[in-house]
Amino acid sequence: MKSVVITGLGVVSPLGSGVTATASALQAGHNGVRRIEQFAVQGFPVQFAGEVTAAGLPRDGRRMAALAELALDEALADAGLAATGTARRAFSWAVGKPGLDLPQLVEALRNLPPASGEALREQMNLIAPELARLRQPEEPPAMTQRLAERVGAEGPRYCSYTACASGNDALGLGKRLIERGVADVVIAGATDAQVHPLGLLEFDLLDALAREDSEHACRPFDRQRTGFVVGEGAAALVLEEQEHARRRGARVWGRLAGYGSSLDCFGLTKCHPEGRGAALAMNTALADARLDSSAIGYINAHGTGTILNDRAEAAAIHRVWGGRARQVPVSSTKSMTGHLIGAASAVEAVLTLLALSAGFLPATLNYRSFDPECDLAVVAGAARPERFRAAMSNGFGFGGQNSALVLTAV
Amino acid sequence: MEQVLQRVAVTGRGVLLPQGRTPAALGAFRAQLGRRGALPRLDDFRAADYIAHPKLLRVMQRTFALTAAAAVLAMREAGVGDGAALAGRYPDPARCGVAVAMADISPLTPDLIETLRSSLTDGELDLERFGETARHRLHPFRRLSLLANMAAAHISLLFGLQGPSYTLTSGGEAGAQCVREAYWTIAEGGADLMVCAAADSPDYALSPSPVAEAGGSLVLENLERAAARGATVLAELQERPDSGADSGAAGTASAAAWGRCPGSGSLLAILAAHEAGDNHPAGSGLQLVRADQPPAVRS
Repeated sequence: MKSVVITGLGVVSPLGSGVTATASALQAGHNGVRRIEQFAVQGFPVQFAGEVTAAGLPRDGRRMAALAELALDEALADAGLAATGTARRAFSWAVGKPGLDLPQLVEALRNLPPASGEALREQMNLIAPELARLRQPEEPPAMTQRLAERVGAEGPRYCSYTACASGNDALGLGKRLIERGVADVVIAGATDAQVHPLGLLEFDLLDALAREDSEHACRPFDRQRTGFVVGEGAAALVLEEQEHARRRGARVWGRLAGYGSSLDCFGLTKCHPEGRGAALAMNTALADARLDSSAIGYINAHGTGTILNDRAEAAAIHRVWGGRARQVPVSSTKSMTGHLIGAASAVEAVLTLLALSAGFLPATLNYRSFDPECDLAVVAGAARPERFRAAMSNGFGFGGQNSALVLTAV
Repeated sequence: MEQVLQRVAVTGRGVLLPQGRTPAALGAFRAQLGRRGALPRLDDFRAADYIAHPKLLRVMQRTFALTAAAAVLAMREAGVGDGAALAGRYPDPARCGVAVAMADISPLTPDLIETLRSSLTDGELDLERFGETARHRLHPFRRLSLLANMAAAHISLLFGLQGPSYTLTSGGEAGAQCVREAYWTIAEGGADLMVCAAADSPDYALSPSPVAEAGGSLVLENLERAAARGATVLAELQERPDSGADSGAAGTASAAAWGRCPGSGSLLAILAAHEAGDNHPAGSGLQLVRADQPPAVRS
């Protein structure tokens, strides 16, 4: 079986742009959640989010691709690879749900009278082709092709979406392409930008967002937690067959040792209360990595900060680690970044590798009160120096989608 | 270390087309795609005829319903039937997964347009008003009706599947990619059964050109497990030796031929190839072979 190592990282998130800035902010325990600046939030039920503050980013439907480009360019340079096209280079990318440009829609509707029922349907059919034409470059297939060309990936090009598990799944699918011998290098990762009016409202309608409107609203595993805070960002990882990386003398950040995917098969929005599917994904990732749970020195939890998700994840960790569940350090970096939705687990894979590489356990911010239903060794308040050789990074999504990665030192 | 690959069988097919509900309709459907003009729709499709789950039906938009209904037909042909029957044949649901291909789902909905119209001041969008009113006017499950992976979630809930789950959104090649991933998942021992499914509906497509209405599904199983339970093996799937080249230009050509089915096209192409006796569905990277050959071995 071929082994998959990681030779390049690129990241842009509410913690900063680029690996160096992100690593510093992560270790210092910076909080990337702040009052939204992309649009006027008066009247909105939620006014705080994890925004990327990099200069020059578009504030419309092109934002997701712009975030992806920043991450991909950095990852490719970090890996020391040129963008010259090769068929042995593949692409596995997750693209978040594209938004809808509301001013564009208002313009399209301008000369049409108010309507309902069948007449409204006819109006929708009338305006849809032009809206689709405007939106097409930012739709997942077109964006994926463009991004793959940017990094010279002429091999298979995968675009996938599994809600908040998307990043891990894109990395897992990329890992498989190398193990099967289809590619020597896979550029993998995810991008998402849901800090827009409709994105925020849709999550609010699901009662998933934190009720507290402040930069401290995201409180994973805390007894007072009330929900998640939306964030945005992108991460790219250069996955490489180990021998291929060795031959060209590439720097190695770590190994993508294990990947597991599973379904809760419980509900569309609620996760299995005993963490059945989450535990299955973690156990599958461990088996894929041929590691026992005792080898894991750190868990980067999905840790959204919702009451049910955190409780279920804690139950899942207890299922997998048994009596050792209270000994393995756990943190949720979403407390610093917000929930990056489709990009969350790809960014968290990068954060986990940065922590593994520098030898510290990232903090869970805003954690003040112990919840007996989340009886875990939460790394609270500030990062802590500690060397570890293997970590688990979780990503769980709507629809009962679960994925887990095992990342190890080489 | 050598890894013995498990053999993979096709045991079920599901097809939902305006021309019919069996693979025999694929030829006529394919011919229709090549003609100009409007495409017929599945006007007589009623999700409740296939999906006996009223609670799910209430939140299942049409593209997902077509995907799930195609899966129901495929599972029926595979002799697995409903979730209870699956449990009888595959006691460990963690060994059964789902792979879906899906085009981007249109966020343009009547409730959104009505909310926007009620948020205009002098013809311009008043964002503050929109923010205040949307919570009361937009459908609470709006987000769930737009997420591509919800089709996989519905199929999982219908059959009790708890294993691996992939949703490919790559465009024309997504259907073939989802079948390929399902094939490899079984071949490498990650699952015993995978339901592959895809669908398109013009109601939920935001496309500059007309989109067809169709659904398709394949059930793949570990060949030994399928044989042990007495399933009819319709074909064996294997990776093509030239799979890399096959998924390049050939994949693009195949995807273009089925371009009016942006989510389901290349999965339907595999079903059509099987129906036509063609053992090499273009662009899939896979071949359909007789089930009497030795297992592949790779190092």
